[in-house]
Amino acid sequence: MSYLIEASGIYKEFSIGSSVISVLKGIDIHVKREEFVAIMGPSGSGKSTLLYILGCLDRPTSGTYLLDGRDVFGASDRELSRIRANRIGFVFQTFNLLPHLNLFENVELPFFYFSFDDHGAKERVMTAVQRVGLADRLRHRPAELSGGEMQRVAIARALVIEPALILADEPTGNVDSKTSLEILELFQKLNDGGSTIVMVTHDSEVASHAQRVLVLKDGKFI
Amino acid sequence: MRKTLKIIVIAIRSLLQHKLRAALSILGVICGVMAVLAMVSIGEGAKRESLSQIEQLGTNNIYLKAISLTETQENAARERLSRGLTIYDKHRIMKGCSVVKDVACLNELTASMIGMIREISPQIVACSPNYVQVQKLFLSQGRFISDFDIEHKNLVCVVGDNVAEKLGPVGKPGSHIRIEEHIFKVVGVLRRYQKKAAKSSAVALRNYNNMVFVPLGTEGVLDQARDIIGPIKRELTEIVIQTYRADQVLKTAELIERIMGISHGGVKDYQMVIPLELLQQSQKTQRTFNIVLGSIAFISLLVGGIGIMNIMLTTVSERTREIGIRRAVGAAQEDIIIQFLVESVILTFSGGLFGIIAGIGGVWLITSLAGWKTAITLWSLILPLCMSIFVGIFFGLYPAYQAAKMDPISALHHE
Ligand SMILES: Nc1ncnc2c1ncn2[C@@H]1O[C@H](COP(=O)(O)OP(=O)(O)OP(=O)(O)O)[C@@H](O)[C@H]1O
Ligand SMILES: [Mg+2]
Repeated sequence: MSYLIEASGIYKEFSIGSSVISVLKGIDIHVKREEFVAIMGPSGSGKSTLLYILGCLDRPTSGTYLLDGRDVFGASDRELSRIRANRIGFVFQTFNLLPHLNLFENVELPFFYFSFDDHGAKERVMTAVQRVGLADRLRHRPAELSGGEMQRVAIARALVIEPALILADEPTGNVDSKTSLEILELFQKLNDGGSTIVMVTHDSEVASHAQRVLVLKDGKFI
Repeated sequence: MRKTLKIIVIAIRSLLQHKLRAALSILGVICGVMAVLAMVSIGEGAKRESLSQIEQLGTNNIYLKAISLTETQENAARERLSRGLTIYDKHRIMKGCSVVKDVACLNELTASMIGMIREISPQIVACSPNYVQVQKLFLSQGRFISDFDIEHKNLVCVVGDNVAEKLGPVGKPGSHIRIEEHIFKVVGVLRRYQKKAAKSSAVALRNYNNMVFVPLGTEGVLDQARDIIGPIKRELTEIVIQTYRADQVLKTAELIERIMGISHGGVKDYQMVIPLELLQQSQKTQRTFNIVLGSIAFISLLVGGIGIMNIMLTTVSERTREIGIRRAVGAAQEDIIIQFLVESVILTFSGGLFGIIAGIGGVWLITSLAGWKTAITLWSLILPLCMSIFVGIFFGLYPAYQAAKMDPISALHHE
């Protein structure tokens, strides 16, 4: 089985004024297709930073990163955006839904930037919404949904384009344990269906659902 | 295509979230567009009016008009044996200028029509047969005065459209009317003449509808009585010189000026009116007007544009989080730029549309209240619309660029 993610020697530094803080200090991470990996670590260890780099939303200061065999280190903003639009789905702790759009429109959002023809978009949105079990709430705005429901909408939005890679940053961080279980079951199902998932979490209980757990500390895996 | 439509729909929806704000932000553009439209229309109206007046005089023509003299001028004229405009002036001009196509003469008479059932007082003029061609007049019935009439001093006349109408059954070729002590036979009726209301005296146009034309030479029998007591008897009140082409007018005018100067012994008992010159003058004033108009339009749209930029900057900073989300699901910087540009252009374009509606209303109000001539041309609609789109792009670019260059991750974490 080939690797979807092959990243090695990833460094990330942030410079604030004259001071430079080094967040990632030589990360090597390889993720196979259809793998479900969890990343754990204390707060401030650089988990989110790594996830954004893997998701092409940010660039490493140095290192090599091959996504599906393609080097994305030197890619332009446009190319990175293409990759995000067509191959990556993000799920955030704070859901990040657009408040003025209803459920359907939120899930439809990625199709604005999707490169391929969007003729089947409507059906695909419906399928995604059905998979998260919210088909009866299509016209609802995020404010009319519970936290768990909002996260399910966010997951539907992430999987609607059938991405090669789903990246979740503490997806259960803002919901109770029962909802958290539902969300994990959903991830499980997606993974069984062939999705590659990288999930960041604080909770070892949550992490135990993954096939592999990586622990980040002071910018390195231990 | 569908995507473009979707982008527009999304932009409109975003704007409609803050209806009042959107409405207030485009007020400046509305006013600017309104001002541009109103001024273009007023300018165009004024231009058309003066143009049509001047063109009715004929841009190929030069007019020599007799003017009434002061006592000293009259004495001078008497001394130098100048008798005002005469038929000899016509001959001299015809001989002196090679590019003159035709010279027509006209003499306004003080005679009046007598014995008619209905009260009408047409202006009675004696003219040469070619007057009808030089002034581009047309007949609806019969014929105009002919060379034969002139030669034989035939007592015939041609009546204007109004006169014919008022005369009723008599206003037809073949019938007779009485002017002073003489009976004239009607030989023709002029076609109705669309007279443009003249404002400046320099381009005063004759109302041919209300005139009666008799052959030049027959006025002797009509004007006799007045000849003895009146001032120096002028033979002609107007000579119209027609050149072949408009570019010959100014040269010919110079030549005529010289001929007239010599033959009238320097007495200025005539006035020269050159429609082409008037035309050029009015074009010059128009240019000045356009510059003023342009600057006002520029300033008002600048102010409107700054209002748009202000509101777009606010919108962008309010929607930081949205920008982060869109970036995360795959929006490139160009996509963000386009999104906000589309919003600002929709704002200004709708401002332009409302401005045009308000402007048309304003123009209508000006026309009906102040009575100014206005003309709403396609150009006066397209120009402000294009300008409003341009303002949207120009002033929306900076906020859109601000939005696009945001760091997506910080944008996502923005509260
Ligand atoms: N844009 C940035 N500029 C400066 N410093 C940053 C930036 N982004 C992250 N950092 C710093 O990098 C470090 C790691 O941040 P990161 O968000 O990756 O941590 P994390 O492991 O996800 O923490 P948490 O579990 O609290 O979410 C933090 O110390 C943070 O202050
Ligand atoms: Mg984090």
